[in-house]
Amino acid sequence: MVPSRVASSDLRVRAWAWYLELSIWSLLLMALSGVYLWLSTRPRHRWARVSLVVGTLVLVGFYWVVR
Amino acid sequence: MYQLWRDVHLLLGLFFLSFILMFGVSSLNFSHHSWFDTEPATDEAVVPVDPARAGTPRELARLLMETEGYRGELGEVRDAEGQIGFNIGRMGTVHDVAYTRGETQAHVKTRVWPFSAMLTWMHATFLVQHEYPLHNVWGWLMLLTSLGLLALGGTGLYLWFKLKKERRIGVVLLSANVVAGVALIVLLWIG
Repeated sequence: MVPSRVASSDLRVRAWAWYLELSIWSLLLMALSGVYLWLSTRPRHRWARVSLVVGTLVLVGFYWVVR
Repeated sequence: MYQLWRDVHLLLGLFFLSFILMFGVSSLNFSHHSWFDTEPATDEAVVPVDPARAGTPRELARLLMETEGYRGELGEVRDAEGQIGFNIGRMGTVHDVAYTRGETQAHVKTRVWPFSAMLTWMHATFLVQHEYPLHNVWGWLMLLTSLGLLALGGTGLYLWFKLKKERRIGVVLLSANVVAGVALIVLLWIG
């Protein structure tokens, strides 16, 4: 069930759709604020950089291979 | 202990950052189609087929994978009255094949979805029992990401709880979220 159901006549479905919409934006904001907190407090943390690069490479590498 | 979990939280968050963004953006794609380009590019082709190697849909699919380089798993198989139809699909790319038994060529319609739609394919592809090995790799990555998100949530809760001055507002927000989420699920469940 996705937020596009906000047009549903069922109040419960509409409420659920808005709840999911809020959740999606919260997830994105949490990720971005986490990056900000990292860069503003411990930007030189070596393992943090390694972790970011490896995680990103895994996703980008998979995308490249499956594409 | 606090420092340890802070480091774990940081490393997990950064490792899974791209996956989290992928989930977030693709969720927006599910809910706001008009914001994204989701139409596939379509190409049609006639490809040569050796009838002796196209006795069954699976044999024909294997032949096309070998000769045309198609990748993915077999789906939507139709085999009736001399007509064979199926698709070979993977995330973001689907080859629709139509073939008449005994013919020396098959018609193939290939659809390739753009980046934004590809993200929704990735979002919706899970499990580890696919014919196509890369989909299984992705299934394992999704499992890993799920566990990572749970660990990220758990360590986040621990770090928040240790900050005494932020406990009150955190408890209010957390309680409101749990009550709203559970209430909505129950309401939807009981119909």
